[in-house]
Amino acid sequence: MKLETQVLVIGGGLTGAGVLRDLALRGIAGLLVERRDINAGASGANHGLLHSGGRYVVNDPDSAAECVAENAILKRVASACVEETGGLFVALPGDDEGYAADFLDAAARVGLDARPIEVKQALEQEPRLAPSITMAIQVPDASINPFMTTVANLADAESRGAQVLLQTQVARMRCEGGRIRQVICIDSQTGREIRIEADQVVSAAGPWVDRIAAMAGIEIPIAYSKGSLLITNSRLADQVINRLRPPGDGDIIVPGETVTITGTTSIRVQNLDHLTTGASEVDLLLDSASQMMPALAKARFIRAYAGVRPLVASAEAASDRGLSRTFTVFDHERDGLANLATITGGKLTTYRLMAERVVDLVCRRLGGGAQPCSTAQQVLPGSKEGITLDARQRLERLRATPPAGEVLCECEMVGRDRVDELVRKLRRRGQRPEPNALRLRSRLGMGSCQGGFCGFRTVGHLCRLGDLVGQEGNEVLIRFLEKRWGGIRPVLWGDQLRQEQLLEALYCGTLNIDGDL
Amino acid sequence: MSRRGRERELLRRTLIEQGDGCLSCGACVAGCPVGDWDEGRLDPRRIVRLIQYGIGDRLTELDWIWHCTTCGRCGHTCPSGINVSTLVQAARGLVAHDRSPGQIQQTADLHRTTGNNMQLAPDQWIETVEWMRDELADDLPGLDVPVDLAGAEHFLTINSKLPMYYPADLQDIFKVFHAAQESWTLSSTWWEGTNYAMFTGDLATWEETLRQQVARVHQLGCKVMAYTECGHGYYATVTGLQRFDVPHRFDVVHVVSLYARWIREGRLRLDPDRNPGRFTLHDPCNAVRKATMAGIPSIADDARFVLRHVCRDFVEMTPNRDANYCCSGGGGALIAGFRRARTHHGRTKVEQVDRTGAQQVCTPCVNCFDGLTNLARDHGCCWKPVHLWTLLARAVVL
Amino acid sequence: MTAERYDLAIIGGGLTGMTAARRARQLGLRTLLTAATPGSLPYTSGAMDLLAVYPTETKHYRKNPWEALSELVECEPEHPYGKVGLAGVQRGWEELAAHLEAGPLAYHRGRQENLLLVTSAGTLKPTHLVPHTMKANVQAWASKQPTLILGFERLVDFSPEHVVESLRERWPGLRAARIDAASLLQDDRRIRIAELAAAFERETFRQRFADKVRPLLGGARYLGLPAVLGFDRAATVCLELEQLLGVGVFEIPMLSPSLPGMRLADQLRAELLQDGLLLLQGRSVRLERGVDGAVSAVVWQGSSVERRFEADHVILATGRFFGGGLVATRRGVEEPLLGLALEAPASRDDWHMRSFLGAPGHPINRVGLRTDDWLRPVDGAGAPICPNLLAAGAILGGHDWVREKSGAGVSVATGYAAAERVAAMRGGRS
Repeated sequence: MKLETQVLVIGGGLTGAGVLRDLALRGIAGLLVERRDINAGASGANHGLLHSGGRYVVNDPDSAAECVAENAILKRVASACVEETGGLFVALPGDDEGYAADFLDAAARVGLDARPIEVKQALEQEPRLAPSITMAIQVPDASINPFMTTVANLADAESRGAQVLLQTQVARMRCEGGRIRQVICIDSQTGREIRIEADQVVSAAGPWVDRIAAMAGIEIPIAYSKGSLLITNSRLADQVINRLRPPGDGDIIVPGETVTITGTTSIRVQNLDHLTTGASEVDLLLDSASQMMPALAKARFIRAYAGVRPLVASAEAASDRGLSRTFTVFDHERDGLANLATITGGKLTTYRLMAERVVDLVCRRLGGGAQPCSTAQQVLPGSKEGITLDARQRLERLRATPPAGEVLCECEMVGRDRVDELVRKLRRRGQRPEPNALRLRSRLGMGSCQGGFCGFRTVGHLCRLGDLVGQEGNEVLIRFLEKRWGGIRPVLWGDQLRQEQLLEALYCGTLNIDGDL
Repeated sequence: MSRRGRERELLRRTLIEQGDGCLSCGACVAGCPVGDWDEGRLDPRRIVRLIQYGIGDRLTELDWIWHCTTCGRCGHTCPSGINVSTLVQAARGLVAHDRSPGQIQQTADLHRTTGNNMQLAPDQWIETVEWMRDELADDLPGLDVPVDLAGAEHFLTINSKLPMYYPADLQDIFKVFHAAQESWTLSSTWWEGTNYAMFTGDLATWEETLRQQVARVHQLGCKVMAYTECGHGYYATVTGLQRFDVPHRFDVVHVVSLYARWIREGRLRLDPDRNPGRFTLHDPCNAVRKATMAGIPSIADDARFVLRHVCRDFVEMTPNRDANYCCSGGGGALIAGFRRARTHHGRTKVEQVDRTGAQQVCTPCVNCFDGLTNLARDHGCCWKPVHLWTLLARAVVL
Repeated sequence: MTAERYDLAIIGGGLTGMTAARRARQLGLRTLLTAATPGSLPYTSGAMDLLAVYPTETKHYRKNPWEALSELVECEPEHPYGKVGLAGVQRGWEELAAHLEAGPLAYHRGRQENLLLVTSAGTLKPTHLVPHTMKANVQAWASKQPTLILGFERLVDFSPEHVVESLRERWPGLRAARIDAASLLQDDRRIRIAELAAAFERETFRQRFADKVRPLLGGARYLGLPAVLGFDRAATVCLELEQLLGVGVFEIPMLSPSLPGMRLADQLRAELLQDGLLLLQGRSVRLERGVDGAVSAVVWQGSSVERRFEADHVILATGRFFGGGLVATRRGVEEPLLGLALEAPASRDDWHMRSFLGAPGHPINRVGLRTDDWLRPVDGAGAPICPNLLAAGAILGGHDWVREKSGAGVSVATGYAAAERVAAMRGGRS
């Protein structure tokens, strides 16, 4: 199959989705290819934190300034994906007092609204905070759902004529005369080749940008920094809690709708595939984070996951945390390739700005008077004033329109009607409906049992719909169970171990699904 | 944060900690009589989910917590020991008392201010007692119904529905105590055998009415409080004495256990043929399952023992004892005002009783009696509930 | 706080504890049983496994469980089966099988071969004792006769299409269909397993059900249903449906809730209560120990009272993590009643395999109490930690019931054996 487009975007994370939307709003209908499903990289393995900028004010003021601006913008244009939780920076006895002193000055310099509050007040707001905290500063941190955000960006782009091909991997590129002539992709479901000819190519492939660039004969020095995060079973904090000290491990706690996400670490890895979180990493994280919130030491965790930050290598930085977290746009014209641009680094919070910069570059190259960027003004579909991801709003919506039809995921109250709707969308996209694809687009499988029960019910339902035939049902079920296992294995103690023991007993005992009979 | 806010936060935290062990197995849903109610489509598992969402304090706004009869079956079947009925009870306590539904709080207030739910003045109460006694005395020479007898061994509580609606039941009770030649007394004040404040989480009223009754028992110098055939009153009293740390110089014994003791001691001659037909037994949640879970004596064994002595054909319901289903009237549901819902919630109970083929359901609890009476009427059943004192009164040979 | 005296206190009211209690009472021991939680029996399929996979490394399916057992007992003397010995296992299993065959659930056994059951995933489960309601399940699969698998609209826990899709290549005569339970129940609320079960126990419902299903049967010789055919009367319900429909009727094991597992638990418990056993439910206990380490009393913690029971012997049958018999913290695995730290892989990374379902199974599943030949838990030097306390059931180390498919067998064999050992320890004392 041969496709033509003005702009080819490589990478279906939030950055790529943001680029596609930005182009579409400027009247350019692009084509996006993603080798797996949405947010398969760092966009699907982060804190879900919409930074106020506080984390960077002292050591990385450029990053901080970006965050301050984007924080306000996203709260408006992506309101349905954001919960305005607010945030606190708290210091514990022994933390660097000099840092705390610099914090407020640095905040003022970048325009960050940071207000010190009394420890007593902080403890009233967040009763689970360690009573020994010595200082607390209020900042406008927030919680953002990256899946909803990517979906909204892609939906908006598609409604304006853009095209999205998931499960489509870039295999090689044909370059000639200082330009990429053709990008050859493989549809990973069918194995068929798709040849794409584009005027411009944007690589937004996160930590894989070096591989993509290599296909075009260009070298990008990228370091891979793995960060692990842990998810609790319940919501232990209502605000983002940060450690008021130079950024380190386990110093952020973020409420994520019904759970709490604790992170993170920063470990160099060589291999991007098969990321795991080991017991010692888990212990490191928990020992550190529980200093801010002792309840974490006794909490039940339902999942661990790891994402990789692409760090544009710098010789001067003493450690990975010293590397700037701001982003880099590579104009590969300097490398002899006139129609390739790479956008990498950065963070979730600045995805929109990253997209804007690289699309500015692309539009300059395309010439012909494209419109200026409007993603800071144009609200995403579903978002509008007053609609946010607040838990109470969610309850109201649930009460106003309870799930019609049976509930397939009890933990997250996902009903059959919602699943049927998503199945229709996936079919239209040519993607096979299966539990993981549904999980990325709803909250199915994200609760306490992590898909243990709803995975089974969903497969049963998909067999009924005819989307899974023959052995596909159990094959998909087993794949789903194995995939979720990777994230559960690192947190198996206490009640989560009991949960898995029950599920293993049901799957291997009652169903003998591990057998070969 | 305001005091209210702190209370809510405390509730939220407690609920989250308690609900963290939920494994989504659904055992609670399977046994919950209220687990399929349309509005909000809630059930115990979903209540736990709401709590994990961090909006557990919003339970106070849901009708569901008043549909729940706090029967505790969820806690009984949960492999993680999560008792949603306890969480519901805690949420109820946060609802402003004047905003609790139906007549539950008003009843509790009447108990606190007048000494009984029906606002009966002492002379009205005594008049009823004497009237019933006089009628019965024709058949029972030597019948004595002591009131305010200092030094009597047993202080007997009475549910105020009896003098108001079922005065004949008083005669059954008098006859049985007479036959056993027990040392006992009624009281002219603080004789009520219920504690509705427990249903609304009004701890202050619960404690106050309990202390008043304890003081009365002390005044009369009785050694044992014989608790009338009631579930929640017995539960509220025994657990309340501990919870509120009320000093007391007497034991509390459920009257069913007293009947059992009389039979074992040979103090009652009983003819089971005087109760023909098939019987089954309804185990009141508060006096059996919840008693067990609270670590206080359950009446399950004694009720069966007594029943076997007063009738010939006794068939157990399934499930029974600690696994029994609620009568649909527990937790204040009888007067919470959700009449239609209550009829619907009782379907499981009705089927359970129907399956036994019994004509009479022995029901040693006044609220259960009313709950089952309503169900039998609304579902057109051919069985009816009967108190154990009635069966004893019929069977006793004098 | 009064003390009451017992010959034997069994802690844990699951299959192990109840088997030990039954045997103990047969041997004339004055016994009490405590059960803090409902345990795992209500979550089992209702079928009872003896042994179906050995060794687990190769996932070698064994058709003849006794043959596999002989091999296992010889190769692994520290396995619970090894501790009990082949003859001991046979005795305990035979007693249980006979008892369940004669009871209201009318179990049926596989004798020299394992039986294969069709599950709600369309997989095959090898097992050894099945309740009557699943007898035709085994037969239908074995004969591959035309069979209809029937589901209920809005009952999401069972998908007949899932069953049929998985099996139809090997069983061409298998078909799926669904009926609307709401119209049958004449009530439109949520369809729950418990509601369906209560309905099936009513004759009028069965008639309506049969009328609705008859036209769907076609040439089917068997009808397979999710496991909802009633509570304690399920076997009778099954027979009556067979009469109404003229075909074999069977239940298919489901995940949770599992009525057949609950029925078994209820039957065993009711029998023990009927027999006069003292059963203490709903709260945990603690052990009182003397200076020699022996248990002197079991204390049951109520909220307002404590009840203290002196016992000459104790059997610990508290299961594994699910029921709280073992507790895993970030630091390790503990047995809470004796306060023992158990031997487990030092790093949590080694507790579980990287694959959820792969062979040979997760190392943590083999962690448990090690015992002497008397089934008494021992310390590192092999000496009994407590002279009068025995352990039985899943709490024992050295086995992986979930991969061996030996759960019921280990419970029954060790429960039975523990009771016998207690009686032997008491010698002539009654």
